[in-house]
Amino acid sequence: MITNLLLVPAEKRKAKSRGRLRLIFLCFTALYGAIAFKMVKFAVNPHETAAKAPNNELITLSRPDLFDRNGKMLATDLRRASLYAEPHRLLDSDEAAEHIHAVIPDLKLKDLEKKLDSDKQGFIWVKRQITQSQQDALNKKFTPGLGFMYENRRIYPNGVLASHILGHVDIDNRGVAGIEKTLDKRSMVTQKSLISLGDTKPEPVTLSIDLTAQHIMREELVKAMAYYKAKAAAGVVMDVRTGEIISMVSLPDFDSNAPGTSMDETRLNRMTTGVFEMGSTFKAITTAMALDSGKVSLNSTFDTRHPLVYGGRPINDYHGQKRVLTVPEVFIYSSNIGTAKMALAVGVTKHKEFLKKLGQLDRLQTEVVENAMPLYPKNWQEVHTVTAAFGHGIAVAPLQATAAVAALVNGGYYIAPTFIKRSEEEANMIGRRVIKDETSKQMRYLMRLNAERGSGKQAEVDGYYVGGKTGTSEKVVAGRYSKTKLLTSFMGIFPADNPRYVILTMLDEPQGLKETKGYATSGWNAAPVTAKLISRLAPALGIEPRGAMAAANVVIPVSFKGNIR
Amino acid sequence: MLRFINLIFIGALLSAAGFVYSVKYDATFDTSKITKLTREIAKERDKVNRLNAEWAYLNRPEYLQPIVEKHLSMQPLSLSQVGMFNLRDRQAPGPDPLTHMLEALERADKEVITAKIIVPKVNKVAVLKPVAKPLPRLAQKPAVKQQTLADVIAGLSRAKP
Repeated sequence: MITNLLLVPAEKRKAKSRGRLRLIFLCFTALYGAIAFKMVKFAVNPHETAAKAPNNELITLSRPDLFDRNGKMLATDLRRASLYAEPHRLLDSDEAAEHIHAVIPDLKLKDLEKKLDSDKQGFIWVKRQITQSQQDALNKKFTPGLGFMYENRRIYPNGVLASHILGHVDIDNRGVAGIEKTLDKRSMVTQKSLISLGDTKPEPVTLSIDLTAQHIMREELVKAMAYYKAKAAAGVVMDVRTGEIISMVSLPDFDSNAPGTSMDETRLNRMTTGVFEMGSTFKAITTAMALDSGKVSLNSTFDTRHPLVYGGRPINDYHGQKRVLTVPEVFIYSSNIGTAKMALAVGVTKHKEFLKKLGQLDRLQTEVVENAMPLYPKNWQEVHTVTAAFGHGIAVAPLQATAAVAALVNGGYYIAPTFIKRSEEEANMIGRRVIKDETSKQMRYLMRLNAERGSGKQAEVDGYYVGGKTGTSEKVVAGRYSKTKLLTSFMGIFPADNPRYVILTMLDEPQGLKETKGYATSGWNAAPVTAKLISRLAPALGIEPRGAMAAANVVIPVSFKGNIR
Repeated sequence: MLRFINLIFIGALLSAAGFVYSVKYDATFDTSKITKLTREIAKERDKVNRLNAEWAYLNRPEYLQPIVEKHLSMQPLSLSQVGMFNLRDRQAPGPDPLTHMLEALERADKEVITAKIIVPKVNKVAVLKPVAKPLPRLAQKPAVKQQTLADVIAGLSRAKP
């Protein structure tokens, strides 16, 4: 080679080497260019290589913390150690089994031995989510082949409080009920590899619930359930301006931390999952519809002397007045005949349309996933309008009825109920007008009047100007209405002149007591329970008490000219 | 000349290599430090979270209420204990209260004037009635007996077998 080169004339040699140099130069430029490019790429996106999907088995879910509307904790994730084993690395599987059994006696020795003896498996969970003391005890004796991984475990510091709202999670921290399930559905839950460091906790979620109110509701309802010997009790408080649920209780309930019994039928959430014939509380809806249609005014009169007969069955009044009643009288004496006639004055089609507008014929969907379809006759006849007017023959979820009443008293806007904190501006955006402002005012007057002079007298609380409507419905037992098994409810608003909250209290099969003169109807149990609730809730919710307030017709001026007898 | 340039290049190369070496090791060191800190942060966060949960657990209303009922003499506020006045109902004060005062002084030359303050008219006045129930715990609490050193010593000697 060298001799050859030497033989070539100098100029040619120079030209040749220049070409080679250029080639080498190009090669190096390309090489370094490529390196620089790759480095820039890494600098821009450092996680490119790290973004490999982690092993499916070893993942834990990070759930957002849940807070009440005042920032009190309702649910959080805590790290809990889980014991795993790598059977092929165990020196003596029987000894390991004994060691584990000594610390965690729940695990049967035989099962453990069998589990740990299988050489094929590389990784098995021995016991998920053990306690700190168990972990310490296991750590005392070093056993190769055993180890811990840290999983997230959902904790509900308040236990039974709000369990129906929050729902619960399964062992893998997946939401299976209540708001927890909604979090999963809306992908507000993040996955995290058990091996990776750090935490990727999602943004916390603030609910509309008020923990104090929730506690008051539960405590008073527990007392009421025992006092009236009821089978079940439930209650809900809703902000009429925003549609936020401030509190919702259904008894008997369960502990979200140990949800073993949550699927029990008696423990279902009566407010959303159960549908009930609401009885007379439904008359508020009928009356509002009649007044809003313009066909009926407060001064209209209805003859309630004779029962209405449909399909051979007479429809009677419970508190029979047997005379001609004005609309406020129909309302406060809870006349079935009068209310049915009001509905008939509006018409069957309009009635059904109005119920649809108030969301009574559709499934109510909220962040608490459990819900139920209302029950009503598919082929809606005149008789159905008559019975639905006073809350029979149509069964809805109580929360649904509460949302409708909120719309009747808040100025006429239907706002879908929510369990997530919501501002008034947001509520105004989604609010939809269902009745006129004037009708809404008349409804407030009627509900206040009922608490002053009607069936809701026992719901009155000094200083908070309560209004409301009682409701007693007979439960259907073996296809017939039972005279003794009642479902009583009270739909209250406070303060009635400018409502802030609507409250529904429900008792399932309350018994007549000596103190209630043997009566078991709503005015004797649900109404006084509501009074007790409001007297504690109103101060907790920051409602200013007012001294001596004038009667309904002075505070809420409406165009009613008659006298109430 | 060429040799000189070469020397410079070799020098530059060596220093560059040294620099890269130190950067690499710094980076490795920092990485391990970051890992450690991340782990510590995660641990601390975990602790904070655990404490928050415990705080929430100990502050749950059903736990607090019996304690409050037992140890505090607080009662729910009744309507009669609340008085209200409406600021809008208050009349604006007169043009010059001092003139009124002087005029009043002149008028009542013989009377002994203790003090007269012209108060703007108020429709309802805030009345805060005292809580009717006396504070039982304070009232019933026995006076603490002053313990002298001798008592303590006597107690100690009694305690010994």
